[in-house]
Amino acid sequence: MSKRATLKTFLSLITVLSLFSTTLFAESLKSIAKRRGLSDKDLIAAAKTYTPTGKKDEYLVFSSGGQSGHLIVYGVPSMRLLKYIAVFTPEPWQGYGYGEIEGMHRLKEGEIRGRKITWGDTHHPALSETKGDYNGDYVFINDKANPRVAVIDLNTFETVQIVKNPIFKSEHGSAVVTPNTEYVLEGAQYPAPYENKYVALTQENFNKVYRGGMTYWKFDKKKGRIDLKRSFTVELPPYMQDITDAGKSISYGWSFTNSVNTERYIGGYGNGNTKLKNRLANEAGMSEKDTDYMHIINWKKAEELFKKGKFKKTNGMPVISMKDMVAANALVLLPESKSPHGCSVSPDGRYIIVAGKLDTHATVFDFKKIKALIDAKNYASKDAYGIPVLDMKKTIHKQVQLGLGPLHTQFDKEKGIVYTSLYVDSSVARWNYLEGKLIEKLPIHYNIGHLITAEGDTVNPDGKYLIALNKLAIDRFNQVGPLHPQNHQLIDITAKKPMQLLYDMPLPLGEPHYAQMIKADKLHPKIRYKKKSFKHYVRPGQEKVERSGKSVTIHSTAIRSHYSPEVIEVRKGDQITWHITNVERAQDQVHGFGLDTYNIHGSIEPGETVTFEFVADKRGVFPFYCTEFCSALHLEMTGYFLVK
Amino acid sequence: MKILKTIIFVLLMSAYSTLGWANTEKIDYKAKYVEKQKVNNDTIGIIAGVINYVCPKLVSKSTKICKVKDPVGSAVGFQKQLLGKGDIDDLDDISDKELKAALKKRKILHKEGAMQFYDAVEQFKMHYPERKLATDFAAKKKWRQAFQHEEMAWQFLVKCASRGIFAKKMVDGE
Repeated sequence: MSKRATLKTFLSLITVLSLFSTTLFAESLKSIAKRRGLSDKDLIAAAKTYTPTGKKDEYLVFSSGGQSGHLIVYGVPSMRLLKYIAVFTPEPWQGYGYGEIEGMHRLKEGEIRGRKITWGDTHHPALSETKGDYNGDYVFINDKANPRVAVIDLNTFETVQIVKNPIFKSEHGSAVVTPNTEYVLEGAQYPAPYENKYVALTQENFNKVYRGGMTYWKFDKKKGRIDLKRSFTVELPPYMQDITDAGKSISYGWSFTNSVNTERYIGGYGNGNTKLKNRLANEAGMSEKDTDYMHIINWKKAEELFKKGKFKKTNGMPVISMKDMVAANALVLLPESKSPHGCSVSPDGRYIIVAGKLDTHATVFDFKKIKALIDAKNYASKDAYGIPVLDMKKTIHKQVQLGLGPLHTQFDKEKGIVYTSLYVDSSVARWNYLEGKLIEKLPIHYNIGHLITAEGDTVNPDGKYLIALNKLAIDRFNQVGPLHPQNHQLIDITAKKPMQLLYDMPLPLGEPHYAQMIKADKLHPKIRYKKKSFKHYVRPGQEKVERSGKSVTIHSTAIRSHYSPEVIEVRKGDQITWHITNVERAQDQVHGFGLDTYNIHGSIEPGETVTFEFVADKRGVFPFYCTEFCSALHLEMTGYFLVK
Repeated sequence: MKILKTIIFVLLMSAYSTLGWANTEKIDYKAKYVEKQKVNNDTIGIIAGVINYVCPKLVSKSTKICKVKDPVGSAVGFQKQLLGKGDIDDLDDISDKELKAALKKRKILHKEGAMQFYDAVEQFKMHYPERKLATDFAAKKKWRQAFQHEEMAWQFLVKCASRGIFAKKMVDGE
């Protein structure tokens, strides 16, 4: 064989082999898909979400944790869970509520009428904004059950403040922020007397004494805390205020709040009622009228009234009366489809979309029309409290039939495109609110509540992804007893292409109501703490135990793989203050601190000093140890706390 | 580097097994001290290898900081280069973007690896006082204390080695 022929044969062999290996590889992918029952569509969905090790997500989602009282953080598109932020309830891993004074203080802030509350029903997170865009500095979240709002610092992803509403007995339309985070809004839900006293539930009392309201919590951006002294409430009728949104751009300075019981029905259905008997159930009585009211509040004017002292304090909360608000032309009502649930202001601030819930339509209101009527004091009527009521027909831009049970709406990057969850239909509607046209519907799993798009409630939505927040996944995951996990479904909403369901993520923590999705590069969390920023920072070599009467102060350090000191002896009844500084620099060198029997546990992150306070009220020998695997000799990172 | 890791593993295993056997016999602390000294010297040798491998990947050649013949000097020089005129806490105050820019200016080639390596060097520094105490006790023939401090020195060296390997993984993109 000539050299040329040999070369030709060799090249042919290589070509055949490479073709064979390519086929083999393609076949391999095919065989995996076949074995696992995956379609081409599934493989595309996997490719759109799979995030290889070491790669990070484009977006982070902050989701309410429902009855857990926590806030959940996960990444998109990977849907990888990143953190549970402890907010209203104790959380042992983070040492929140287990003797460490910061967490204990935070939870104490949340006590209501002297009662320790160890659960919360978180509903709506709100990321702080600048000019209507998320700024990545803070996130706020409400507790519907025990009317409270928390501030979480996104530098540390820790709860830094809990404020309790002293006049509400429940809430719902919260947390919502105004476009520059001037205020965090909290709307009442179930009407009740402002004062903490018994008022018999009669129709007359309900109408006259029971009240709703909207609290405007002033946020001090410099301090990163809500300023109680500059916060106020606007008195509202007992209409069961619901979802709220803040105006932006042309509607800046206004807020919009739905309501679900303008009938002011007070119940009494079924056997066993001690007062009211043989009446319709709430669900029927509260749906009697064809329309309910959107509360339109000029908070800028309310702020002026507050600054002028036009308020009365109840339980320490300044309350501006409906009468004063009406006199200032700062409070009006707008009829909306009965028992609505969504209330979303468009990115340009001009339109407010309200979904009917019991109606198949979504209504697009035009703020320009609303404002013109308000400015002209052109009102159709007044309600029972003397609040002006606008003519609904004069304010509507479009009404669009979307399907059964429309709830919440989020915005796309594409002009006019929005997405609305359809609870009864179990689908997501993509439609154009400017043209009033339904484009397509995507069936989702089951029981959708809220939905979110990337930065979808800001002035600059990103589009790209949508997450359907479905409740109780009955058939999507392995059965784990009668209580099912929730199901967040990731959907690709790339412009001009049909929506595609990409991924199901179970959330086994509580019912997450609302969430917000922020670009990950807007967040700048701390990597480690600055040691010197802590008042009780313990320098290595300066560890000591000090006694003053019955007070014992322990100054400790923690470093791989020892505490210093390791053996501490006190007397029964001593008041213990125990400072521990983690003197590590490496960002993953977290040390835990667990003390047997005393219910003490803390997480001491690199550079951090934590302080525990407790009384040594049990005599005995109590080992303490590092609860976070920190090094090869982690088990040896221990000591004894002896109480004689 | 796989060989380096294997050597470290073998060193650690031998050190642990020595401790295990020690409990079953009458303890000769002098022998244990001498043996631990050897382990520590060998571990320092390994760490020197890691430094020589990682240093040029963390800081620009133009700084002339990395010197094969002086790995400890390289490590300390690297720390100075990383910090500039500030201290490590100052790096916490600036954003990731600013930090990247600052490190670029300081000719640091890999931010995450640099932070891990900084920590490794900090652990390394902590072994010195322990070895000094060990030597002092040995001079007084207090072999038990000499051994114990030599053991403590080893603890720091191990932590240094594990961090160093972590830094190596980062610069190699593993």
